[in-house]
Amino acid sequence: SSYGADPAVVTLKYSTFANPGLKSYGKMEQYCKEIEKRTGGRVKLQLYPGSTLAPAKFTYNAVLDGVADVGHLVFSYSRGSFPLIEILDLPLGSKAGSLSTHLMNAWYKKFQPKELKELKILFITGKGPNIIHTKRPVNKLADLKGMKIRTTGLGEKIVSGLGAVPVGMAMPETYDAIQKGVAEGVLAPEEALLNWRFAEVVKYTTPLYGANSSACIAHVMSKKKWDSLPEDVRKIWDKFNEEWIDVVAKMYDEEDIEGEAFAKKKGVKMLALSKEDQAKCAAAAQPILQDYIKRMKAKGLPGEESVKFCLDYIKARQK
Amino acid sequence: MEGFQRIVHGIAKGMGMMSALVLFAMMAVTCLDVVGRYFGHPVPGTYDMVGIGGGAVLALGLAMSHVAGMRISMNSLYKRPEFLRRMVNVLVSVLSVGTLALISWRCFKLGNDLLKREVVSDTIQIPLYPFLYLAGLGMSVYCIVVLVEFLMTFRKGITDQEGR
Amino acid sequence: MSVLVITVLTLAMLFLLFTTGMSIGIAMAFAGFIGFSLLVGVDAALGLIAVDIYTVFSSYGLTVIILFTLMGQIAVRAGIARDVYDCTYKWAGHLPGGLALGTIVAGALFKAVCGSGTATTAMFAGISLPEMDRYGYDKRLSTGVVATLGTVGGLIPPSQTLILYGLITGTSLGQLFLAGIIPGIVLAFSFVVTLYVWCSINPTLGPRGDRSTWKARFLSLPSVGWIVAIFVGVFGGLMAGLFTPTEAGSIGSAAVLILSLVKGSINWKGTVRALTESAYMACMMLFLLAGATILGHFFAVTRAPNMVSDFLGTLNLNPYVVIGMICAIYLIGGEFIDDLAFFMLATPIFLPVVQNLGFDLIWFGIVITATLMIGVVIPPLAMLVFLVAGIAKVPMGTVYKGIYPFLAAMAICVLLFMFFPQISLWLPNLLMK
Ligand code: NA
Ligand code: NA
Repeated sequence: SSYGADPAVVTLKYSTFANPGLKSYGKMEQYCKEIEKRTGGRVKLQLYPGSTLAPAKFTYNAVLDGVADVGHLVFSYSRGSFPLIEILDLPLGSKAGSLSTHLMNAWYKKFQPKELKELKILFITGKGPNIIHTKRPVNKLADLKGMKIRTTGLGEKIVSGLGAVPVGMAMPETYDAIQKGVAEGVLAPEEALLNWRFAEVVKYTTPLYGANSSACIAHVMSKKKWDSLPEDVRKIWDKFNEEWIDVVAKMYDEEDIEGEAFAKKKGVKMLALSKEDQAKCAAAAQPILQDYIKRMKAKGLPGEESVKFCLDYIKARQK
Repeated sequence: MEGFQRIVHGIAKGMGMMSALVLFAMMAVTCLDVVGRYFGHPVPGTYDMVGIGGGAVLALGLAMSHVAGMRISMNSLYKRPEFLRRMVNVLVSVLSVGTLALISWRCFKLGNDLLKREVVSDTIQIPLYPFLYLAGLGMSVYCIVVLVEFLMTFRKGITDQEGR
Repeated sequence: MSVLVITVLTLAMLFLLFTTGMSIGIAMAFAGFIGFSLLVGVDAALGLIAVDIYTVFSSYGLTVIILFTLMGQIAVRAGIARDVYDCTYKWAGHLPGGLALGTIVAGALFKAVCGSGTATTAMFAGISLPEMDRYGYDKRLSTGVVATLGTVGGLIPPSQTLILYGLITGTSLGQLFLAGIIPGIVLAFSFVVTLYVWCSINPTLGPRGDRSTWKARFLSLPSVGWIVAIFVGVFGGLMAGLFTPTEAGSIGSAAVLILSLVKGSINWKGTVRALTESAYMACMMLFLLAGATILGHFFAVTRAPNMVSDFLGTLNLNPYVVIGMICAIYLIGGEFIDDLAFFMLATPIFLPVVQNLGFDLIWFGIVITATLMIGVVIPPLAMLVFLVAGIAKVPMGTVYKGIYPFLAAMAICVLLFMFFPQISLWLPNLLMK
């Protein structure tokens, strides 16, 4: 067992909500192995999947209290708590998980918001863009009008901004709900077509262009725990995180591609909106960004710079 | 002590009534949401409200649930001799009161933390800390109910023995 | 102290606390707290308890339990339960254990609506136990039937366990749901047969009434017509996609309440009573689940399933023996913590073992889900038994006595599912390949 063993070996409990069987979970296993290897076995990471160690909603507390040593933190699960970084969850229009991932890490390096001061951010990941998967075709934005789309949290504003009707329900309920028609679609990345099997119950997929958003999720430790590690271990680990960002960024693209391939096999059709409708999507995202700027201003935080940084970053790297 | 118990049970009962009210509201909101959704106008944040509402129902109802005899436990195997029964009773009560007190304290503490960090619900952004305080309050009253119950049986046991 | 010693001591303490008559929920919370403190640290354990309790309390998915309990309580207060059981008695009262038979059939159908075994048991414990009492049914029989009701539905879609399994293993949810249908029916049927045989052998358990005339039977129908209409409406609404199973609890409660008010069969006082009773019942049940969650988090950090899996890997055994051992491990693991929590912990760990042996994952899903259904009712740590004993206010022993015959039936079914994969795989292969 790992307890009370060699004092030079630190065993860290790594809590995640991700389920085994997911590609992203496999990557996390790889990450743990690699850390162990690079630190010469001095750091051992033990993964606890499927929220078996701590509920996802309270990852922040779990990490600070020491329930877990490393946590998989979804910023939008504790809204209000991380105001400035909320921008990364808003519709910025990134078309790829890799771009979102790089943007998020670059944003963090630049802004280092005070709200995260108790945390050591190992690396941040942005999943593939949240787009809509529906039972009826959405060939033009008007088709979306009144359609019931499953989403919660920040997605609600996006969905209603596009004229659809947001429906809130638990994620595991969604498959059944779409099949029966309680919801007529879902706002999710393409990987969900495979990972949540939505391809079995939807028939069409439509990107939202300027209204694309990505879930911002970080792998974190408490600063205290991090600082307790030997300095050379921290150096090795930090260096590895830098390399790792590239690896996971690619993985999110691959995950979406696999989702798309699975969907195509199930007969799901990939649709596209006209240039005009694409502009409307971008316009629908505007009030959400403006609202963010306003709220940050009230808190004395650099909201405007934050938005500008993100939009410029994407513009420079995306057609 | 009897007077104090009456007061505590009164508080528990009042909270129980509020718990029923919240439950009714949860039912009503969900129905409104379902009907509204049919016409393209769901109630925003029903998902948030139902989850949080469920937490409030349970926090408010806990103490009265105990008073009303809703308990899940096995029968005690330690009925004889009398002194063993009393010792086990003391142990169980101390552990129960202690555990509930700990939970209650931590709920308040978590509430403080969520207040400090301004955590709000996912969709309609209701502050979450009041509901943690409510859970702490519910646990406290539950804890006091169990404590008073223990003190009363303890005292009764002593008077019984003196009377013998 | 080593992990193994801490684990064993903590669990021994837990069972000792059970025998003192301590509230089971509090005992689990306490043991989980102590164990977590020893393994990880006091600060971490203190952090854990409030987070776990509040997460369970405010879980959207678990509100289904509260709302279906409410629906049941309104039906009881409005005398609907009485009407329904009177009617059932006219039709099936002359059969051995007729009312219990009706309860099983209704329970299996109901589970298909609400999706939660716990919610099904909670609702039927509220409704059926007093009614079966009224007709002189033995408590062992009535409580045993209600406790097993929650398991009947484990395989009938939409099953939470199957959804979780599908997501963990990457299997198709559609195929899993299809695979669960026939085993679910086989299981429900085996319960009916068990009940019939048991009551035939010992007629005092579920006393047979006189055969009612056809006239009396049909005359009893109008009194239940409108509640049947509500059920058909709720079923229909679900099928038509008007609402989710979680929402169905609210819709059903509201429909029953409104119709009872209109009919004048429930008054203001009865409504308040139904609301408070169901809130209190829900508190009892969910505090238990919260305690189990804390204990489950302790159990997670013991990493016991990993140790066992590593050990299994070193043995060289017949594949079916390995599957049998894995099932046994689920049963034993489910003894210490909530079975679904154990399922989440253990499945990812044992999955590679099953895959390496070349077994079909859909088939394994059905076998392990059925095994889990046994786990929730076998003593000593059996959630559904706890719930029924708490709601009915009878000793656990009474419920256990009522469960054994059904347990035997379940065990036979699991063996059938294990050795005849076609029972599970025929339907999905027919429709989805
Ligand atoms: Na169990
Ligand atoms: Na069990």
